[in-house]
Amino acid sequence: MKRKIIFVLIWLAVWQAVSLLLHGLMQGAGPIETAAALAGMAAAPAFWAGIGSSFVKVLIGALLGAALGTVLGVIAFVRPAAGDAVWPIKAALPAILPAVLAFLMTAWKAGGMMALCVSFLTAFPAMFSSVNSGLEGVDQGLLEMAQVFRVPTAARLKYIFLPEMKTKLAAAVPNAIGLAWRFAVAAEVIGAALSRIAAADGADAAAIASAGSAGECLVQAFAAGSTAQILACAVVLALAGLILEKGIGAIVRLLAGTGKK
Amino acid sequence: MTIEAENVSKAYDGKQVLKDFSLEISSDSCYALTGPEGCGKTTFIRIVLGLEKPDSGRIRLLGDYKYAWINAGVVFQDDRLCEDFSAVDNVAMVNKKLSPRIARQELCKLLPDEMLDKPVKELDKSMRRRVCIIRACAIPTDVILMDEPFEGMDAATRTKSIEYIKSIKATTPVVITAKTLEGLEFCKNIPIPQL
Repeated sequence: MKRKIIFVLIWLAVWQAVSLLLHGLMQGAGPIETAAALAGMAAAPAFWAGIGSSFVKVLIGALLGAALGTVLGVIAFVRPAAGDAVWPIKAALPAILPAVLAFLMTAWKAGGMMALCVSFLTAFPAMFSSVNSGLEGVDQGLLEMAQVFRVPTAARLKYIFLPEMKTKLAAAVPNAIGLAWRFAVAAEVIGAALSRIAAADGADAAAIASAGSAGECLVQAFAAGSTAQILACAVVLALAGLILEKGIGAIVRLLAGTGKK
Repeated sequence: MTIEAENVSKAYDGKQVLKDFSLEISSDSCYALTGPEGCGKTTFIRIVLGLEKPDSGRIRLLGDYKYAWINAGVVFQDDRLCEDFSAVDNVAMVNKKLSPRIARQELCKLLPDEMLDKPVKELDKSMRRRVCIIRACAIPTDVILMDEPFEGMDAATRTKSIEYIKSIKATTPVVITAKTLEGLEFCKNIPIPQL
């Protein structure tokens, strides 16, 4: 840990040195300037409200998507025909770019729901695939044993399926939520930028913007023309994503009874 | 007649494993299917359990062709234990009526007390086979099928395990596959020829 801290300090020093060398390009946005910009932004309650709002929406959307993906993943395993029915949706969703969703949500004047929808649509196929492939990976020999002994369903779940699934879920849930956060913020950024363009054209921006969102905070920093503010915003967004991913990961590991490897 | 196999044949990828094999398993009897590795002993057990379909021939369970499966206590060749769970859990899980207390009582007959609560992945081959034997015998069944149950056991443990099987079987027919008949003289020997 001590060594890691030393390396973090070294890389911060490198960042500072590069910002001084490339002053024109980076507008002097080293770690010191970024920290100063962050201190300024942190004093504004609207900044934290935006980050917090996106955080909660992503959490809710991703958990709902993960729950639906888990349920449908189990159904698809038990009834392969149902899995085939869901397959086109599961295959199509990961191929849709967050930008497309941002355009659609903005066009539908549902920018406020963007983080929730994007995180839901990101987490759902990720969890569906993880759960389904996890169940298909259960030891066939144990399933035959359970079939031969007519092992009760509850015992099959407890002794055969859950031990196999819990390690996979402990890895899949935080990954899905981390991905959902990154995609949702990317979509919000695009949505907020679109709103500004629409506002410049005289449209009612408030009606279509993902107002008070993490993405909007980043767009505001960009509009202010401050690289330090953009980097400060990026640092907060990265930390928020990390808290979301690691926090959910710790909770899932606790519930699954799997230690951190 | 508990199980009647009639001219059962089975081939895998063109390689004949069983050919016109017939066997009548009646209650109150023990059978030792003996033969070298690959002669079809495991295949026959899998066919009786309904896990494989014979290419030709028929299996009649409980005196009637209408039964698709039989209530069997089985020792699989490859253990098939839930690795993270204890011996007690592995035995008690197979039947709602089998309490952990009874499972523990039965396991004590073949395993040291201190091994009963350890995950089975920590047990050696011989102990794992004994857990499998208890799991197969601890529940009431129509037949007990054991595929190489004594693998990895020393002579004394093998004898103790055989005595346990003899003591518990009552009127339930037992089919044991083995490479040799050593210690299984109480069984009717059914040699399966290598094809």
